Amino acid sequence: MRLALLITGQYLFSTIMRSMPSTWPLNILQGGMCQVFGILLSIGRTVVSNWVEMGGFLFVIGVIVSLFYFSGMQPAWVPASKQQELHYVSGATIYDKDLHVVKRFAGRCGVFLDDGSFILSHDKKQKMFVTKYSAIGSILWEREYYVHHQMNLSQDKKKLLVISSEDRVEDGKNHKYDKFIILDINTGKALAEKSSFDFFNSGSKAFSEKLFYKGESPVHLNSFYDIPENPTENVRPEFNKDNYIINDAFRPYVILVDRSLNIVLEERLFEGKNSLHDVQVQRDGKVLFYRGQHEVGTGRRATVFKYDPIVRKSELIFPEDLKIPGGEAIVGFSLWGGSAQETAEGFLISHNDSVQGQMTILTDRSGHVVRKMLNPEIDRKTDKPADIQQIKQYDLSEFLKNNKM
Amino acid sequence: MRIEFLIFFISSFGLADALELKELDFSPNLKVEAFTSVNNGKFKTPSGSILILTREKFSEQDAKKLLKNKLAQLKMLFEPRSAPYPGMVTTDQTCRKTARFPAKIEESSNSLFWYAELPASEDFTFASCGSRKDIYQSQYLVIYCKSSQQLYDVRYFVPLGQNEFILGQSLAKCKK
Repeated sequence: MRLALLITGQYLFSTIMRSMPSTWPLNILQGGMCQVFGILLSIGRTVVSNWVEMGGFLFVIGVIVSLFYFSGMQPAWVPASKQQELHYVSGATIYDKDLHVVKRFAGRCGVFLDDGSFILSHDKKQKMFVTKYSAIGSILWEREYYVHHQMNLSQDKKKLLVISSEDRVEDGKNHKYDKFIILDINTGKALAEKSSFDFFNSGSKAFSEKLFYKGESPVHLNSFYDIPENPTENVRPEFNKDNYIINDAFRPYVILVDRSLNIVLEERLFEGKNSLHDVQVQRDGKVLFYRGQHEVGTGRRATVFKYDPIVRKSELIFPEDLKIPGGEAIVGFSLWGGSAQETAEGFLISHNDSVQGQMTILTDRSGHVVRKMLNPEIDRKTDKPADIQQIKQYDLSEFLKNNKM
Repeated sequence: MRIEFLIFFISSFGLADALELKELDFSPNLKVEAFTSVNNGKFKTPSGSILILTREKFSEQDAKKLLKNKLAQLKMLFEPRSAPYPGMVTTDQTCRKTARFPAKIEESSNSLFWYAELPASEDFTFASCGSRKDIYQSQYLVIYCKSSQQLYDVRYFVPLGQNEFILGQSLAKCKK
């Protein structure tokens, strides 16, 4: 029995040691601790003569191990500070918490999965593809889709939400209609797809009129998310977690669609024709959106609002005023639409400063800018930091641990 | 129980990883004997050079595809690429970095391989776009040994300014 206890204890301890994160000075430490523990147990087995003494001995060992853990080193099952694990993704580039590039992938947009695999939208021979790669870079599946603006992972990490488009000939002219596609992450198979062409003449308020973008596209859809569990769904069932939220830049509506991508709710967010981007339902049940405003006097500026669907009111989040600490004016907005995300620290906003170029802005909870980062990639036309369409914060620690690219 | 101790001992100290080195013929310039194991697949020299090695078993056909994909991915990181917003405001964006790539995947009787020479940052990132200062010159070798059906991914980083690095010469060959 005692021998069985010793073997079990040793296995347990070695398993614990192996579960520690790779940031430890690992191998020596793990090996060393296993040996020390084994030696202590061996000594214990020879010096104790009964179960009570054995229990006492194991208790002392437990205290030693506990002291070791609480001496500043952190085992895997104690969540590290969120700050240490979070990364930012813009396009197909991953940044660390200090906004330094950690990894770049050759694509327009990237989605990164815990097992180290990843999905890129990219060009190949004048065509665009969505491709899933294994952690070491083998192609797992590939589909030919023209992707624009966003490619997002669903909350359950089982579906890929893609904004694509299709061409339709009307009055002898070719028009681009944006399209929403939901792909199965494992197989790449389309689970649902819907063309915005079908929204017209469907009784929709938002899609009652074709608002031509640059003369070629009657719609300008730019965000597509699934809805997380949220308290608003108890009051307004359209905000159900099985539904999706989509967005058109020139139709300032919250547009919710069901699993088949049929519209279930449209609600106007603001008056006027300023552009709307990156509309998403948050866990608090509010709708966060990025608005590109053209205002007399202030010119272009990016603003971020939160809309409460229960009281039907929006609250301005960013900027709280037109100046940031240091007196620098916030002017301009992303020509590519821009994005916003509420984080534990505040808000993460992509922004195009009309003087400095494209940057990422981190604000505190009140919307004051605490940090800015210029895009390290260069626009070949202007030789200035290139535009950032979307930047979002994710926990990519598992991906980075498992990815071998 | 003693056997268990031995297994813990060997795997914990990374000796299993060190054995992998014996399956490849490394260039004499690399001075393999100077490397000590840091952790799984990572080795270092006293002068600060780092070698990161991983391996996977593949059929020759799959290995060919993977070599091709990896090379294409790496090359594209250094080429201008379209922004994630195609349309009227589409533009190209790029890094101002240079790298030296092989023209194609090379094949011998017992191996398939390519290698690239490129700068890397302190966290071994290629093409960080100047976001972090590049402090390493590196050689990135992907080599498939037909006899053992093993595909090796070898990344060798030498601090800039050191002469350990021999340009234009692959780091390793498969043993015959």
